Parts: sequence; structure tokens; C-alpha cells
Amino acid sequence: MTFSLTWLPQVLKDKGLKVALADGWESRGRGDVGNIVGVICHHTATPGRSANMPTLNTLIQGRADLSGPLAQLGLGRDGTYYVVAAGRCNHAGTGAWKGVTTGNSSFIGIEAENTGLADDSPWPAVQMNAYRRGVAAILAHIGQAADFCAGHKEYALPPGRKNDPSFDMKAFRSAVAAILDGTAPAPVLIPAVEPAAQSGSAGRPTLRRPAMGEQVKQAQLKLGVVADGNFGPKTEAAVRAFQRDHGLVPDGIVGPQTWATLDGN
Amino acid sequence: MAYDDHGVAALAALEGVLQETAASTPGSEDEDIDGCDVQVEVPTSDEDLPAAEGGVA
Repeated sequence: MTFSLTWLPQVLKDKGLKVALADGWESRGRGDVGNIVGVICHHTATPGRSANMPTLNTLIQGRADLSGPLAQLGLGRDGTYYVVAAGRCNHAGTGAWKGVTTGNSSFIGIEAENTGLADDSPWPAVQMNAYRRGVAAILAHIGQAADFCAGHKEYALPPGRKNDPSFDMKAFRSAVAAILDGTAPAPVLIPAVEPAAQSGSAGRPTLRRPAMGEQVKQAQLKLGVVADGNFGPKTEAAVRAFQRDHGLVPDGIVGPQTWATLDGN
Repeated sequence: MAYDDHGVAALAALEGVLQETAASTPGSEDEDIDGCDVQVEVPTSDEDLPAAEGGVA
């Protein structure tokens, strides 16, 4: 059975966001959702900052005392949206926002990877940018304004039951409203090809899964992984680790900045 | 109230339908379930993440 929120990936991709699908997402849910009126923002509170979306499998499967899915969307540290479920999820619990008290049925839950502690603040700019733009994309699709985006800490009852997400929700809603109004600056796209002047020869292509070929081999050699010419999950993980070590956005994509850093390594 | 075999089977089927309906009806007790504070037992490594499409970063 396929549930109702099958529009989620395309709505996000149409706004230039990076989207990854968890196997079986279309038929995953605690039954189907009801009439969706908004979005509830969460953070995962998972300790550690070295992985992009360590909470993904738990969002899908749940945990020993509670079956999943625990949110429709996970948001990685690099701004990737992981689509977990098209049906209802156990993310909201008891609460109210704008008179709506059926949080699990009526709101889409986004669990963003963040410890929720001072060690993970400020949030990565690429992740916050994707958070705002993703929420705006969903609200635009369902025909709602920015005030139908609530933080879990605002929705949950009794007051103080939850503290997520750790950022200021009023400022977040203002930024979402600016995107909806068209007054926010457009995102900067990664070029498909490296500028020619940067390498002194023809620009190298931006590489990501599932690229193949000689350029992938060159990147793999520089990364110190098996140079088989296939840009698979191991190569992507190696790219992320390299980017983290060199202060780059750890998105697993070899674009101009990562090429230049690999050259100098 | 007593049931014959058909009645018991029908009742069991009805209970199944009611349980399924309860799991998918807005306002059911499932609304009180809150899985946030996810409490990861086995972290997902970067190598196990699905491939992504689109995006600027």
C-alpha cells in the first residue's frame, strides 16, 4: 500500500534540494496521514557530530520500546533530505499548534541531525539553509503560510516537555516567510564543471554517486581509496571524511572546492 | 453472547479492521506517541546512506 505523501521528494527536488530515498518509503507509515496542515521541526539529539545522518535507521525502524517510522523526513548535516515515510509517523506526541492537536496525523515531521547541545551550535549553514527551504517548499505545496511551521518545543504539551529544535523558531519562521515571499536570496548552485582557470586545463566535472570513469579514479587516488573508477558509497564516505578534515561542507560531492583541496593535499 | 465458528471468525476479522482503522485515524490514541529524542542504538554510518539526487551541496 502506498501512502499519501508520495509528493514529498519531488517538491523538495524542485526547489534545488538534495534528496535521498530510504528503501520502501512509499509504503512506510503508521497508517496514512490525515489532512496535512503544516510541519513540525525537530532535532535528533543523537550524540556525536562525525556522521551525516546517524539516526536514519532508527527513524525508519524505531527502537526497542517504540516502532517506527519516527518522522517522514530526516535532514542530514550536509542538507540532504532523507525520505523515510509517506505515511503517518510517531514524531509529535501530545500538543497543539494553531488549534490542531493531531500532530502525528496533521503535521509532517522533520528530524534534523543535531546533538541539541552547545557543541553543535551554530548549526551548519548548509543544513539550516536546506531546513528553511525544505519547510518553505512543503508549506507552499500545501498552501500554508510560515506560521504553520512549529518547533516541537512549541507544539508539545505540557509546556516544556520538549526542547527541540535548539534554534529560535521565530527567526526560522521569518526566514521561511522570506523564501515563500520570494525575498530571500537564491541559493548558490555548485557548478557542474570546475572553472578551467583553476586547474590550468579543461575543468574537471563535479563528481558524485553514481559517477564512473577516469576522473573518479583520479579522485580516488587522491583520497587513498581503491581506484576502481566507480563512485559508490565507500568513495562518498571517504569524500565526506576528507571534507570534514579540511573544513569543507561534508556533502560527499567532489566539486571545484574539493578538487582544489585534493590537488593541494 | 455466544458465537458459532462463523461468528467468531467474523468477530476476529472485525477486530482486525477496527485495529487497522485505529492506527490510521486522526485523533486516535496514537496521537500521544512521541518518538522524538530518538535514542539511536546502532548509528547509521555514512557508507550505509542511500544515494542522493539533486541539490546544491
